[in-house]
Amino acid sequence: MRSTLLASTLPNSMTLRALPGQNGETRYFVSGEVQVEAGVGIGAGVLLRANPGCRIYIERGVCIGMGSVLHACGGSLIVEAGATLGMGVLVIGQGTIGKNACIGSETTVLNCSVLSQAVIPPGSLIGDPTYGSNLKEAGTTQADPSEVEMAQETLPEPPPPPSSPVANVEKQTRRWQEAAEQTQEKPTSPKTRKLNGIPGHSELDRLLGKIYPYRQVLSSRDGRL
Amino acid sequence: MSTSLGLIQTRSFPVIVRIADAMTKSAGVTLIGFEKTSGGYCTAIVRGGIADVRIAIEEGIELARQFDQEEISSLVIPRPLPNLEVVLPISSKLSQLAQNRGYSRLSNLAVGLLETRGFPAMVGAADVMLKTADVQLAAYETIGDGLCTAIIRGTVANVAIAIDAGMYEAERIGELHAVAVIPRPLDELEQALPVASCFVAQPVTLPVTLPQVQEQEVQRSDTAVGRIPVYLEPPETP
Repeated sequence: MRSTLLASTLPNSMTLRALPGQNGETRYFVSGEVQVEAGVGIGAGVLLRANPGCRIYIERGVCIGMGSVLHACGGSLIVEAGATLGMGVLVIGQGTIGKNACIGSETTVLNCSVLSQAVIPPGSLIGDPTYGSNLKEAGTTQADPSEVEMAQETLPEPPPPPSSPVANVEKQTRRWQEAAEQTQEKPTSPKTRKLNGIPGHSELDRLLGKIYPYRQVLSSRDGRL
Repeated sequence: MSTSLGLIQTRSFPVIVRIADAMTKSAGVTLIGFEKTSGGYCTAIVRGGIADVRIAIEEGIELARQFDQEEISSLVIPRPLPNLEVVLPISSKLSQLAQNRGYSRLSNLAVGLLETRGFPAMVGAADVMLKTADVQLAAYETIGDGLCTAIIRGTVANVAIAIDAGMYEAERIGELHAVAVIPRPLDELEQALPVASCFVAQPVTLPVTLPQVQEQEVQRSDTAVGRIPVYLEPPETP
């Protein structure tokens, strides 16, 4: 049995429809022209969005992890049979994810294809690094400007176009991890770090842990009481 | 009887009180008091046998390192000469002086100390501490270099929660410098800590009638008005 899910007659409508998964418990969200074959496993909270004039086609036996986002723009996005996408994978643009490809969790695939049987490590960034600037020049899609800028920030100096997406995985993964480390360092405010170094603070924490075993740390760390 | 002298100095009042607490519990030493020279330098003075003093000072140094105190200085003098004791505040006269000040209503309670750099942060933290848990603000102490310490008393659970809340408030207003909680201070540590006068029950002398015990030439009355010291507690203000 094959279930074809087509968007409403208005191609521009941004409404999202929640669809029950196969066991009726998991829910994923569909917008635009999205076609999902039978026997596809889709985790909870997955977002499948096809821009106007674009199409998402998910073949048999594909498995998409929880919280993934597939956003087709500028062409069709095809996930071929047996491909596995880990948890939190982000696929943007057009392209084909080949047969039995395995994409690790929290990977970002920007406007490129993945060869069949390819294995991509978790946390990778692969695809066309000029993705954002292309969009700006072409102006064909309604991409969020902040999203475009973010893509440019992550890739300050675009490397030469990759001959094979998989070949550049390691290099881009490293750059991606560096960028992630930088962004992780920022949110730790100097105040909370300083509070942990106060003489007697760790001792007080231990004491409080003994007195109140089920204690939760005060939520007023950012200062508002 | 000659007793040895031990000194240890750090740059924080809660830390030195915590160290003094550990020292008095680690060996048979007597805490004489705290010497607060300005600039944030505080010294704890202990006396006792040489073995006790050495154990106590080593314990204090170890604890000070745990508290990340960079400028620790310590000293052990096995037998200080009497002239030193007469001039410097290192003899137990100081604690005798302290013991004479009367009975505090806040004894036998846990102690919490919260030190900030700057007065407003300390006042704000003290206010939050009093509103958070059933504690009393016993006193405050300044040691120079802008460091002020609020001293609270209460049961250990109340004190710990109050200090935890006050810590964040102090950090919000100004700069938090150090905290300490002492679940069960020894008597001599309690005597060395300042207590505001409103918590101290001073001996009040009341006129009472006493039966005359011996016959005197004065025969106008058989009772005389004398004065004996009686401890009275002022009524609790709501």
